Amino acid sequence: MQIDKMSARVRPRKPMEAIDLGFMMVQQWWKKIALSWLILTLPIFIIINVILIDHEVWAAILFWWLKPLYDRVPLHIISRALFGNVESLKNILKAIPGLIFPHMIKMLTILRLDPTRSFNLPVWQLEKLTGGARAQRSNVLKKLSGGSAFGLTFLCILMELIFFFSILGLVYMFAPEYYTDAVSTALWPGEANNVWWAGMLINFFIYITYFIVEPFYVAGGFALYINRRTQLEGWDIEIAFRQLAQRIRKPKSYSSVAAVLLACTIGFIFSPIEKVNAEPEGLSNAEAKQAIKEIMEKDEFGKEKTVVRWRSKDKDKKKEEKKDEKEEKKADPKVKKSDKESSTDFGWLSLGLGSIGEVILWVAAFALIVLAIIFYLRWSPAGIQKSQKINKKIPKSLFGLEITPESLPDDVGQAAMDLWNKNDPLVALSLLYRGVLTTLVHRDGINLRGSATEGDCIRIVINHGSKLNADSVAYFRQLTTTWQLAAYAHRLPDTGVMKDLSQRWVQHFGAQS
Amino acid sequence: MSIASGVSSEHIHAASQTVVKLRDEISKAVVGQSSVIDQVIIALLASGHVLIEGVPGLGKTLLVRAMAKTFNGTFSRIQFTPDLMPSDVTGHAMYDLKSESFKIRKGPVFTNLLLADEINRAPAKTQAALLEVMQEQQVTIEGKPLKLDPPFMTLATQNPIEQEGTYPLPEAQLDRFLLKIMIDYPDTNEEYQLVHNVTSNSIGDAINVDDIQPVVNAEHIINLQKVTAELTVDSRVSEYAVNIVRQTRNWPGISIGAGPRGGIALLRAGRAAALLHGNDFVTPDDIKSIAIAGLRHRIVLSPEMEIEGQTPDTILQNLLDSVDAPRI
Repeated sequence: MQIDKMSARVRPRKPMEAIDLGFMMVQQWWKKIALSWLILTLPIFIIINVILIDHEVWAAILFWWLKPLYDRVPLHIISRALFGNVESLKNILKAIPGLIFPHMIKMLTILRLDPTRSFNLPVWQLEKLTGGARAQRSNVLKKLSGGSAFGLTFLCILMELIFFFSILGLVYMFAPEYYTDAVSTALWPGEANNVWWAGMLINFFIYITYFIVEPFYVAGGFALYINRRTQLEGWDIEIAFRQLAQRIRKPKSYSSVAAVLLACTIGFIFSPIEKVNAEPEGLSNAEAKQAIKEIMEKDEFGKEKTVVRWRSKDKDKKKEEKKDEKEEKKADPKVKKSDKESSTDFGWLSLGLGSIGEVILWVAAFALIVLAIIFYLRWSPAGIQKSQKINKKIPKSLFGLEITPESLPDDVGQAAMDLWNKNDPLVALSLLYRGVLTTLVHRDGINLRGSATEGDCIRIVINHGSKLNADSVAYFRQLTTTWQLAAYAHRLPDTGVMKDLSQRWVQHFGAQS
Repeated sequence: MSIASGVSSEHIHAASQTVVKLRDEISKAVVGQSSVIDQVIIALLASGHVLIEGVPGLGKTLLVRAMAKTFNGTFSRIQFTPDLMPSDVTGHAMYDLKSESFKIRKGPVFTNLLLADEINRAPAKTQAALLEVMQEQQVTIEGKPLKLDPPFMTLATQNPIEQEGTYPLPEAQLDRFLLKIMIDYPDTNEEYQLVHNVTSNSIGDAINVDDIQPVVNAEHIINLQKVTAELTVDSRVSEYAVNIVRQTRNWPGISIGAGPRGGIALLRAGRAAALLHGNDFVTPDDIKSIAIAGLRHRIVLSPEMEIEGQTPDTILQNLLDSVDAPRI
């Protein structure tokens, strides 16, 4: 692998950028990728569908299951082309058998449902590692890019769904009804009147979506892989040094400074550089130390500044704790990425989305419980009674009348008779009627609304099945009729009737509880 | 303050009994549908017209014929069709060759009870001709005004299904109907009895109103209408009716509320309801009992309520539940 021949600029990228680079690679070499993919997959697709002609669903599943095999061809093309080796179609086709068969069984069984498949594939195919070494390598690479690789898989699944439904939409919009009906029935497996080609047509739509999405998926995973290696192995630094070394060889006068710089920075590189061609020459140890000292004293390196400001103690504590954690992490050679970098990772995004989702779920669950309680209170028989009890507290005045027990005189019957004798018959009758309503609302917990007419009140009392006995109901009816006659027909009852009503009031509605 | 009654209570009592008899006679022929019968009688007593909505075959024609027979009144029926002309309804002048003069040929509106079947199938011109007759109670042919014999009542019907090719009545014309009555399928027992009645001892399925005995005559009906118009209405009851109508104009689910005719209709129908209930005075109960029938065709629901599938009846029921009944 010659990293200085890479056709893309080498630098550590954010995961999104890296995936974007992968997509650019597909666009760059799309003709070869598409052709070779078609040449490999189309026969497989046709064979599977012809063999399983009556089981189109199984055909679709089988073709999907074999996907890891097809992925290897785009990866082969991209991985070579990226390092300056764009192969001819003939060579690619020749290489296909050698690409497909290695590790085929493992890829199609225990690793088939790996959610980071496109990211792990280069480890298999390019590094050719197996067993424990492969697992270890994968783990190291996945440490900080696993989330992004998973995100990529998820994104590509979504894209496949979108393309599939878009194609279906196109068919529904433009195809004659006969064909759309056939497709509709084929979409529901088990429908009796399936047309033989409809299931195959749907499988072909699926095939098209794979054809569109799969190369991007593979290239995205590969780009993430390359990016991770660039970070781990400092490819960008290596390339920079190589260019520096080439420059040093020509004009000798600068060689001393370049060599010192090189020596200093080698220590910062995390994993060994494959080959460093530049070699320090012409400086003794003491001279080098002196040179380093001089350089470090220059403004660019040695300037110190004292800044005084207030800080909260707690914050300091937390910061110290964090610092400790960081140091611990640094001690672990596998973790070599700064916090800032990891915050731009897909992992962070999925974590954020996850926690938002969790909050929404909790809120929804809570709302459902509250709704269930309200529903129960409202509609269950026990709930209805309870709500009526609650209602008991609400009305203090109805129909513009005060109907609190306090607003009534102690002896309603007597007070009504007094009013009658004072030649205020309507108010007297009104007091009796109001007294009954007050008792019904407060003692018996009957829910009377302001809109209830006299007839409604009687109906509510009868339907309520309250403590009222038949006599009390009869009394209420008589009082209502008398009241209606007085109020709306302007016919007052005889004094005898009024006396009778007043006396019987206490008997039926006197006991306030 | 009240609108006082000028009729003695005995007179009213007798009137009330007559109305109950009328109802019982009609019930002999029309099985079930008691609320429909009540509302039609209320409209007759209040000298109003009704719009009946229901699917075909629920006994609308039977109801009208039975009612006509109870007071020995005349009955005619017009089937409204898209080619029906106004003169087919009101009548026209015809040149008589023998007498060499124009003779007026009276249309089917010259009757006591007129059944305008599927009124929304005729074009607006013909509908308007009928609605004018309903309002004016007279027909003008060749510049000659011809009075209709009282009592005159129109029972127009509408079919809630098959709206294609119909001419829905405009709101202004719907306002002319005192009540809009919804007629629904009878319940199991009623339907059983209905089927039994129609098929026993009869040929075909012709309407049979032979069992109905005339209770009164047309004169009596006019008297009953007079008695109804003179029932006592307390000012609080009138206020209650007006409050209901006014509330329709501010109610959230209603885009156009009822006009003052709505309040007038409630009081007229309320009086008739009181007489039907055997009272000589009107209570808020009477108003409330006919409020939905009296207002459902006078309001226009807001579009969102219509989209939600709400009917005027449910909206009006909610509205009635919010209007305070009068008390002292």
